[in-house]
Amino acid sequence: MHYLQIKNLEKKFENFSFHIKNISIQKGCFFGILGHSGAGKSTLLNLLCGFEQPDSGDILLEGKSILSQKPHERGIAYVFQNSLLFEGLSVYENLTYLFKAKGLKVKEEFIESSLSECEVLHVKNRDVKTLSGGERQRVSLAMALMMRANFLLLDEPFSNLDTALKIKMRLFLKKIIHAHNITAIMVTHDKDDAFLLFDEMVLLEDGSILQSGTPKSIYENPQTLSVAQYFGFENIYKIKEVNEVFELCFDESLEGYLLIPYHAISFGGDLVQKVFEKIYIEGRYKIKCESGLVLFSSNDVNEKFSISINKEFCTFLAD
Amino acid sequence: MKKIYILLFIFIILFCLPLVYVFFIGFAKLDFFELARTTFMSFSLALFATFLSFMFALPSAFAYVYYRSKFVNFTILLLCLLPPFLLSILFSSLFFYLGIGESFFSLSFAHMLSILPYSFIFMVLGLSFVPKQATYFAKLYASNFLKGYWLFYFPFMKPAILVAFLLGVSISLSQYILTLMLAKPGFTTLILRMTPFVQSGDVQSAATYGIVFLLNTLLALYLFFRLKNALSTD
Repeated sequence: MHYLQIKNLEKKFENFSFHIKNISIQKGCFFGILGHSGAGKSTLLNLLCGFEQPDSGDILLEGKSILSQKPHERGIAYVFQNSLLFEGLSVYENLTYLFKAKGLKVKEEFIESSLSECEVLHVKNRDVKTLSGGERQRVSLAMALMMRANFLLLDEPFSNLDTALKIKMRLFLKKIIHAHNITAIMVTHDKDDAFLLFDEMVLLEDGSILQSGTPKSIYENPQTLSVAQYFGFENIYKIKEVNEVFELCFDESLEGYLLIPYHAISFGGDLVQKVFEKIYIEGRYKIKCESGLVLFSSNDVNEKFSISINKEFCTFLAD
Repeated sequence: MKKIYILLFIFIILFCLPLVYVFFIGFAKLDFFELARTTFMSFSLALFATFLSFMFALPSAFAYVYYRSKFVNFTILLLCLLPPFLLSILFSSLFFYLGIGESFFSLSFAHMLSILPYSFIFMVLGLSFVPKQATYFAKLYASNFLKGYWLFYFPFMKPAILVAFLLGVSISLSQYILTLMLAKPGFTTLILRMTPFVQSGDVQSAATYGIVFLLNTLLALYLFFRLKNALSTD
């Protein structure tokens, strides 16, 4: 049985309609929700938390509907982009704050263990004002772990961190999530998060799911033009155009686009290409040809060079 | 630096001497117990009216910020736009009809209506200081609304609430016509006592009441700082 299930969830707003057909999440899964601004990521989180009620559909936790439960009864821990820590209070006082809110007795062992797990036990008595960005996020995560929640929601938790810290925090978060077998749902627009963190993910656009699966399966088999564009794929052509420019024989009756991934292009062959633009990036050349084709080469190339395209690697994209 | 201190000292002497003179000369002419009673009545009325205004302003501000609808907007704007004086008279008529027209409560209610628009504006301002995360935490972690408000909203709203408190007390203290019209016989406030002295040309007595009036405002300011420290959630 799935741990968390979202079934035909629908919510209509004045200018926006949100409809999620089906999402199933296993216990301990690190689940990602990707999408641009306005895709419906926040709406999904609000519905999961119970801040908003859907017009129809259901959310099931271990087979039981949680729609009738109030937000504080759902057992959700939340980690934000900007952590909510009260300055002027110590880390310890900030953690006890949540126990006060829940009306529970402060459990010292929970505080100690979660701070220790998140490697911030040494800042326990420090004012949160003095913490660095990374430490603040770790303390936020410790807060979330401490509550022993049913599932953890993370709303772009790394977007305010610099690149080096972001990489470190991603590895750290993944380790913590899997060590505790926590079911986590993270919202992000950064596709790097998807590859480094998520076990499974959905890509949202205009309030509905574009594609779902593992990050690898979605990346390797994008089904629509939007998904391919989201992942930043270049070399997307209309089928007729491909046949004319690259002398390939695809069925022109098909409506849609064709993606020629980089690994489908190899040097040497019948197709002569002329360099339009050549940029050296991170140890290799990114070459843009006059035909519009973009490819990578570890060696420098002449003004004119020949290539071949392996049709089998090309992916058909629905409009 | 020293020059500044000397100038400051001269200024204080120049400013305080007439006050001290007026206070003691005027004070000798007045009934101390009457003055103390009036001060107590004024201040308790101001505090109660301010407290009452918060009771109305806070939920209204919540409704305005988080649950805005045409009805909420209309009601709140109506309350803010209608002259408080008119509303007070309206409500007082109702209170008279109910037989509680000259009570402390009805007078406080009238004062409250004068303070309400300002309290409401400051509450809305205070709510704008509450970050989105705090509102989420209040809903996710607090076992009830009051606890959520106290732990997650209040720390951010505190500065605005304190300013609203100070303003509310000051407005109530300076209400003349409303108090004159609605207070029961025998109930008097500083501004009510001061005005006849001004009109009759008894400047010393009027100034003494004025100084006590000023002390009341300073007392409100003192309470403001005490509350600032005391209303801490940690």
